[in-house]
Amino acid sequence: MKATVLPRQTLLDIAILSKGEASAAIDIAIDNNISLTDDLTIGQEIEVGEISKKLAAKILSLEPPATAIDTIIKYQGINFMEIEGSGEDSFWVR
Amino acid sequence: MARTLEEIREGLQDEWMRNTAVRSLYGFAPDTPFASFYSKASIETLIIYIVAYCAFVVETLMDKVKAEIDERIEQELPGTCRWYALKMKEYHHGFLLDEWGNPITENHTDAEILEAQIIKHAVAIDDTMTGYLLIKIAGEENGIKKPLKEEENNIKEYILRIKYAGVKTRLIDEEGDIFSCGADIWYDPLLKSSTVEYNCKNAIKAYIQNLPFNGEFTIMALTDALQQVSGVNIVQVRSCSGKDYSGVESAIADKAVPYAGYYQYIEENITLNMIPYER
Repeated sequence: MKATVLPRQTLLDIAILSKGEASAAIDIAIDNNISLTDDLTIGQEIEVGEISKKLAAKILSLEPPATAIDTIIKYQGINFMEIEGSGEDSFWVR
Repeated sequence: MARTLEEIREGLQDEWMRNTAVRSLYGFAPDTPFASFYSKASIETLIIYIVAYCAFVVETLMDKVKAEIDERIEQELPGTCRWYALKMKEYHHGFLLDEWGNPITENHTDAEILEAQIIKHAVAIDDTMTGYLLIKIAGEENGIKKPLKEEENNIKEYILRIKYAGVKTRLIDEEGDIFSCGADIWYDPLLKSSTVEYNCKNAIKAYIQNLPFNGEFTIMALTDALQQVSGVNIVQVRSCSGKDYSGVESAIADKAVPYAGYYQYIEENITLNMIPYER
């Protein structure tokens, strides 16, 4: 069984959707010859084997999780100070 | 052996609750269970889960590395059947060998090396009846196993160079045994007979082609594969047989290992009698 990656989904989302537990992500990564921390592309097909009948997988299939962080909050204003660089590489202190 | 994610998480939570500095900071009583003080969505629960997951990944990967090393050690023991099978897969077509029997891969590109590894499947069997070491091999084309007739003489010479003195070997490099099967299939009459038949044939094909090299075919596993097909109610395999390269056909009563190490799937040899299932 193959799972198609939705926007902002990580391998952990795929694992919990298909197997009902995040610990399945390692086996899915090995089966698909990808790294656990690889960024997935939208529409990518991931081989997940048999879909679990666990409750978590059933419930989440109604509202698939997508937990990848793709936006970085950029603080600005009087209370914040930027250290080194600009944009996503910068480090902010309050 | 790696602990489960739950075991690691519970261990961390217990340690967290035992810590006197944490206890005085949060002000909970001794022996308070973690779950009764922190909610499932609390930041503490989430951070402990993340740390537990990291530990779980490391432990699981260590297990996998250990299993790989164990397997490698087993294969490296020279002279065993597994070693012969490994050496066959290490054959590089058109490459010279060094004094240790390893192919000389210098001055070759990665693509050339990969292309020269033509033996994709190999198994060695110690046939005590005849006193021969049987070596079954097969190449692969588009995912289908095939014999390596053109390269057979080179491979025989390779075996002579790497084998232990005094070992009598026999190379088996033949077309796959032709698989035939007849079965009665009771299917859900709401579905089209032709669709279920098509899916059943695909299931048989997948089972036959995905058998491990020199793996054992069993009628029971074939029945299980057919039972998985959507719309199939009952499966009764009536007959099964395998025909080897010499034309000798042998019926399979319950299990069999193909002579060539693998079966060929030919659709015409699969006869499915589709019967609508009536309650």
